[in-house]
Amino acid sequence: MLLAFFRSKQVKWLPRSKFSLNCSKIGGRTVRFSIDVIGQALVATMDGDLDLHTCPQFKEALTEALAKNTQVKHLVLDVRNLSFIDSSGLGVILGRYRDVQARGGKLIFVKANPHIKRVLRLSGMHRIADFVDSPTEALERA
Amino acid sequence: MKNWIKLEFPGTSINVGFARAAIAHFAAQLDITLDELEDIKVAVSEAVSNCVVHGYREKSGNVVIEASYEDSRLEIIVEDFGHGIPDIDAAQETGFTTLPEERMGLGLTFMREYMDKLLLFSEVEVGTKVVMVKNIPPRQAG
Ligand SMILES: Nc1ncnc2c1ncn2[C@@H]1O[C@H](COP(=O)(O)OP(=O)(O)OP(=O)(O)O)[C@@H](O)[C@H]1O
Ligand SMILES: [Mg+2]
Repeated sequence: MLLAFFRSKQVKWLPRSKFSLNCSKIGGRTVRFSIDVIGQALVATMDGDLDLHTCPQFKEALTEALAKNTQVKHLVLDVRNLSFIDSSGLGVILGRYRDVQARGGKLIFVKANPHIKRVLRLSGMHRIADFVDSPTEALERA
Repeated sequence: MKNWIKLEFPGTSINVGFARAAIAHFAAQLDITLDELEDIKVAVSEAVSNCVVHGYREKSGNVVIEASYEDSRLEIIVEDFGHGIPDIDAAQETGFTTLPEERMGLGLTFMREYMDKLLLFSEVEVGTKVVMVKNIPPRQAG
């Protein structure tokens, strides 16, 4: 049901760059994401590597979506296909967390793998965020 | 068993992903686990990102990475010839950053956490060098 909802909302994917095609197996990939608004939640589904080079486009898209959708309170990050994140990516996420926190909202990670969880724990972000196993669960919490 | 590589490239963000993938490939010559490879990717990504963001903040220049192993000891040296760090002790404190608007001050903490040893050398307007060591104990057969 949720899937149908996602489909009906016309998810916009960024064009897949050559770099991503060539490097998808060995790391050093680009990041791709779709951003969707569901009720009071901004749902970002991420794929690839979020690092110094790739985080500006992600930051810009989230910032723009938050500015446009003033009813949004919660940020849901579906990270099941996120293959890499470091402090640059965390900085972007923390910045957007501050935005939703100011609106009284939550930061929710969907399906964070152990590597991503470890980075989030080290940064202290596990204390401010919720972790769930499905987008449905995230929307229930939002 | 002994081997080494040396890489030199312009200190720009697009090379961060290349650097972590290249060093991970080199490290994969050892009897290494996927978890250990992830650790190395984070550490290299943080070190090279620092060269790009801080070392070459107002100038440009190259990053040099030397990676070597002898038996189970893997050493990775990341060097830039940029601005340098005026206060090395302060820089290594978790949460310390000279760019508080956009960064979290976590990179050096991650490097220390993900590697077994971290040494930081820097001279103002000469450059910065990070030496990281990780022990890759051979896995038990069977
Ligand atoms: N290669 C470098 N050249 C110049 N200064 C550096 C270099 N590496 C680190 N620093 C200094 O040390 C500080 C701490 O570095 P660290 O990587 O821990 O945090 P950060 O880069 O500021 O933030 P984050 O890594 O979370 O994005 C930096 O803010 C910077 O002032
Ligand atoms: Mg850093």
